[in-house]
Amino acid sequence: MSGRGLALLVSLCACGPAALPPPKVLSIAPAEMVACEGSTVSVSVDAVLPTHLDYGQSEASANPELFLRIGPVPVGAGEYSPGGVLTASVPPVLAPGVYDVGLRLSDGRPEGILRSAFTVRPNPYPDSYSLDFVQDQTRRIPFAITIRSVGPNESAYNCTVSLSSNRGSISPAVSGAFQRGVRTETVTIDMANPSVIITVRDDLGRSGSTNPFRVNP
Amino acid sequence: MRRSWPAIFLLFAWRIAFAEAPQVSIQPSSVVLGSTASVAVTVRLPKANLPLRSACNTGTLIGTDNPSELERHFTWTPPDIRFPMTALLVFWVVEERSAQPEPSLVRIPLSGRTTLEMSTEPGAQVRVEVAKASFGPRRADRRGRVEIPIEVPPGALSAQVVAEAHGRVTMREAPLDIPHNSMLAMGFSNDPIVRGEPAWLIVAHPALDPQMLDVQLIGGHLAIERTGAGSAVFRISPEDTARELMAKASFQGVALERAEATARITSPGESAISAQPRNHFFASAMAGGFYAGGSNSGAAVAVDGSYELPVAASRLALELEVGIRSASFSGAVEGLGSVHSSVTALAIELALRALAFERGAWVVHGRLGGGALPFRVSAQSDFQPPFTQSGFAPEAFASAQVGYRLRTLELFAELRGGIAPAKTSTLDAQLGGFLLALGARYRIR
Repeated sequence: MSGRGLALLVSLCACGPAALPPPKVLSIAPAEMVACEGSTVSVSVDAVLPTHLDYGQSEASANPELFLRIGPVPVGAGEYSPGGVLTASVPPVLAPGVYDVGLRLSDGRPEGILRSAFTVRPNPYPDSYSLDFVQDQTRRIPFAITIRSVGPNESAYNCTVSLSSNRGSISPAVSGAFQRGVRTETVTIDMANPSVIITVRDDLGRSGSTNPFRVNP
Repeated sequence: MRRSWPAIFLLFAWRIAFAEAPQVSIQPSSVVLGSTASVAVTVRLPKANLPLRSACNTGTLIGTDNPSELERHFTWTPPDIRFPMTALLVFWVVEERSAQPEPSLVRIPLSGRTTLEMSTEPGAQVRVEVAKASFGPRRADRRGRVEIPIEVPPGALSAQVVAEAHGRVTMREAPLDIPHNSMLAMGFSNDPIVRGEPAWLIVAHPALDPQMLDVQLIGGHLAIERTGAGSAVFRISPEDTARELMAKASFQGVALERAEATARITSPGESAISAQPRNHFFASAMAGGFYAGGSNSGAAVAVDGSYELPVAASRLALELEVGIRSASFSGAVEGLGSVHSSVTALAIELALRALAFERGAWVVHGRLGGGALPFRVSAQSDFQPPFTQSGFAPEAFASAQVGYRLRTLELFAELRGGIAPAKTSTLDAQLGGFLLALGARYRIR
């Protein structure tokens, strides 16, 4: 056998990687969402699971565990789906921006990253906020306040605002998500005061305040 | 009963100018045609590594191996005939260019088997005597017919039939119709013959009568040098223009006793070129399968080149083997689907071969070796992309080969035990285990 023939045989039998390929993120759909709204996405991946072929026992196994992330946020069920299409819920915690989508398998192979694959669009912020009239309240007794966005985008605002009071502290510090520009939040004030004002503020610093009201002991 | 002891024939030189005669032994010492497959011939040389020549009047004589510098092995295969005759094997060594060869002769009686059909008195007890051997008795049937199988040695021309019935014994001689075969054997001392150098023609016959011997040489001249026990040696001189010599020998008045021999003629320069040493290279190929438990099983093929080491009487050889092994496996993966995988390896190995046993055409070799098996594993599944991985598996093995020699070819079966763990991050396989293969080994000329 010639040396060239032997080299060809060696290459036929020994060519190929010694290690399994790193996982790849092929696509994500939809590729964007609005900040604060959250979304359910499908991530298509090309991943060879950590597989073990035991010829002596005539057994095969594969570890389906994986770690999928969008930006810094872990998403998905943490397991591989046959066919390589993973479904994941994206929580509304990402600030507006462009994020990588990363996939890592359980055997420590390098993470597969699809760069700048997911965009979080900013909310259509209102110009300001108005709060319905608040009557006198009692310390540490929950009461409802209604916050309304004001301006051209007032009905499209679905995000949250921070809450603060000029006297004592208010709980919670952040509201829940608005629904079509309106949010009714149940709050408590921990200090009695004859003139309390609650102020709400969004990420852009646009704000609104209640009327002054009394918090009785 | 046939003798099973080796017959040893010794001939010695009586003049210093003569080459010494080799010693020849055969096993078995006689042949029953159609029953004995071959005869093992051992020739012991008077000195180490002397060129050995041979001739025979019938059958096929094949050199098998050289177990030592002083010993040569041959296998003689009987001709495809059924009638008795005597085979004559002639051996001589070429000690010096000027030394006259001293041939050693070996006769092998070839007995033929036949069945005699006779008619005698009904119920008679019949036996047949052929050359002091008795066959039967058998009882004749109601019509007086009886058949008796007999063995007829060479030289027996008739059989004695003895029938006994009613206390009366009758004897009758039955002629055996046996064709005559030539017992003349002849060969040139060298082939090719180098022009200008001494050369001889050796003629042998168990009952050689120089007065009756008629030898013609085409392409040269010959002169009787001497006659010995059953042999005659002629000095030959090629003609200047001849490229080949042909000798024809016969007995005057005996048309069936004849022999022919040919030899090429070369010039001294050509002789130097053509005087190649015996080739020490072998090539072999084999195919079979291996099993190491579970799915560690599959096909194995290999080709092999070996070099016979000039030590330990050429009983050792160094070998390079290149082969391919493959195994495959299909199974379910819990919760995901199914997977099919295969492993293909290229075995590149070095081995030391040792001749362990030899009798006649049968030979047993042992092999110890090891090497590397670059391999590739591939897997296809219904739940993830296909993948391949490669790696190297080390291997060590020991094996035994049982072979049967046919001329320059040896057919063999090999049983090998080895370890060759093939491991990657995905694969745990064994490409060693037990390997059984059939193959052929050929001495490269």
